[in-house]
Amino acid sequence: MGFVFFFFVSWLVTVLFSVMKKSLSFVENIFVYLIILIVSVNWSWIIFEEFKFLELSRQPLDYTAFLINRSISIPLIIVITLNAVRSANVNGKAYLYVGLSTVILLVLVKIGNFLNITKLNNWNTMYDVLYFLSLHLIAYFSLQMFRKLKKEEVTMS
Amino acid sequence: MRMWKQFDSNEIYLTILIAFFFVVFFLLLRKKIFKPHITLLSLVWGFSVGILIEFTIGGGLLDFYRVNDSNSYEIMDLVYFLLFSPFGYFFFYFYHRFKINKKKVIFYVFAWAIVGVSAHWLFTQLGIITLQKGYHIALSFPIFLVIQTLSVIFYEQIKYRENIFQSPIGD
Repeated sequence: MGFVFFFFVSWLVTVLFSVMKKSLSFVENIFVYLIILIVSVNWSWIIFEEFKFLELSRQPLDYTAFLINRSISIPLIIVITLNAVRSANVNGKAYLYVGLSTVILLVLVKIGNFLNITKLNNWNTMYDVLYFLSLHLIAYFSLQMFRKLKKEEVTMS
Repeated sequence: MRMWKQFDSNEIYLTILIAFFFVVFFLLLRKKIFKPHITLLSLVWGFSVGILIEFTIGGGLLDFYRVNDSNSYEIMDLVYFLLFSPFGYFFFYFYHRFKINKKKVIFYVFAWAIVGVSAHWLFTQLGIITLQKGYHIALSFPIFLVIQTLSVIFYEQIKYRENIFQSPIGD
């Protein structure tokens, strides 16, 4: 059941990303996706396998569901949000998108707990909130840095 | 998370390898083929693909190999993953330099898959990775084939969508 659900979520976010009107270029979207992927993979490894703050199911399908969520859904949700934030004409709207995205990511975490894919050992939901908010900030600032690099090229040439 | 379990031969080899490949990278960078943001993207591409594969099959449920001296995450493991980033650039660079087209692309991907498997074999010989749970080095071949094919698609897509070269003809 967990696999079916998380596979569906990853399919949904992929389709949503494909059809949405993007405010980032192809290269920018890929860059931000890869940065968030690196953080997501490392973070999940550190909290699950190193510090064992959370326990991960060893059932192959559940484990695959976790991998799909870690590598596809989480980074893509952040990228979709960043596209929405960049197209927002008022700050309030941008904060609303980030809040909504954080809530969706938290709901996915809770469903993972409910479906016994993950189990909390020594963990607090607030850590997840801080982590997801940090992911949005990392995405935002990596895009800023990437755009600055592109702009410098134009100035130099 | 610690720096290393014991700083011995595998850490020394790893340090030499990363220094060597980054020197090669900086030498190639002097040719100024790609725009700086594309160069950065190629490095991030190499690093993230490496991280994704290593943490998926090299750890967790599958755990087909151990990086460095223990199964836990060491700073030297991060150095090993960083080794993948210049290869992201090398892939782009030689793709452009050898003027890879539809006829040559199969050979190019095949050659890189062989390079990847050879590098994996070298890492096992140097003690940087230790195969476990019945994993055989040949199993890396299909993984590299998929990665290099995706890299070709990725390169072609970014080249199609924007000007990635510093000079108009890319030389």
